[in-house]
Amino acid sequence: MLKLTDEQLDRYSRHIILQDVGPEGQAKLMEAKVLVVGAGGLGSPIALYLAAAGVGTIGIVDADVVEISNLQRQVIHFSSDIQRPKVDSAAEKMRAINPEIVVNSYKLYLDASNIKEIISDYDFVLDGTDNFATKFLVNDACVMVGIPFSHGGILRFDGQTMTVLPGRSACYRCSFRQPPPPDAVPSCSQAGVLGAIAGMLGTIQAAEALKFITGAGILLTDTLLTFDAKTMHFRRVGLKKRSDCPLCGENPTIHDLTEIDRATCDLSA
Amino acid sequence: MVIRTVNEEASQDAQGSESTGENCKADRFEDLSGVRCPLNYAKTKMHLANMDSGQVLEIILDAGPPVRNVPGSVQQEGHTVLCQEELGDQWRVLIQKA
Repeated sequence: MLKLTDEQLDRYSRHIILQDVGPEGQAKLMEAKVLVVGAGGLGSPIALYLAAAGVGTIGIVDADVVEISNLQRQVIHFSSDIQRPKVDSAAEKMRAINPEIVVNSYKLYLDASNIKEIISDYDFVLDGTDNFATKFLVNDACVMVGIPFSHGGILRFDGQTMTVLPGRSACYRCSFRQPPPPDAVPSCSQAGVLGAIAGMLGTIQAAEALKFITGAGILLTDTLLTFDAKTMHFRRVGLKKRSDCPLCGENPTIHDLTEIDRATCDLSA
Repeated sequence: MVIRTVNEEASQDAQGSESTGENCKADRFEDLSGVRCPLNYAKTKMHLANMDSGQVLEIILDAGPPVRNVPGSVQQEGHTVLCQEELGDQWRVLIQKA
């Protein structure tokens, strides 16, 4: 028996009248637990839309404090939040949008020693980090534990995202074997990023999470979606789950998160 | 009591699905008069979600946008509008769950 209060019916009416979501889909959203890694450019729209959608439990991970240079794209933080922990600033906005949700804050860096325990409490993970070391860590941990997730990355005018169902679709490592050398790739803070593309990509990731939970539509699995905001060209690149993937292939060589040398990243998101 | 379909004013999808008052027996009822779009439709879907296939829901809708929109939307999702009956400024609508 589905039960929604009159206020919930009103708040979520645009989901409830949507054919592929409906009362059943909204109930699934309200029971879902989703983890957002990073409360930065991507994490901001992701966290705001998941909160607005009524995702029942949302975890948010970030070790940093808000800096003035974040505000150009990290729309969950305001000028008055400068120097506050990002997870506190984000959680406050999420609760203000939707007092019904539970927000779990993790003011820490994810690493090989803590990531599995944290993600195990969630149904879906969204990667909104700004460095390859953590993106591979999120991929490896999610594949090992079996938690579906959305990968996302932005730089300059470009964005890319894919959704991974561990064991069923290509993982990040099927296509990108290992992180590039730390000095080969500029970070957002070194190369610049058009603020609005954080919203473009983060909202795609949020939509993937809502689709996964409700079962609506077709996920971005086995597909890398990329865009160039300069030309507004969007492109879909087909990916395959690789039998020789060192992580999810037939004879994996990666068995333990700690086996891999993971460069620590001191860049702010 | 005059029974007719909403035809021109309301959903054209409802045409041909009218029936007489004697056949209009409902398992559930909600008066949605005064409830605006789309909350009236959200409440209708909530009832249908908690009913068994073949059961009948009776709702009262305001004339105008509510009765023009809700029965058609219900049919788009595969349910059957058994009858629509005008009651002054309101309409009585019976929906059979798919």
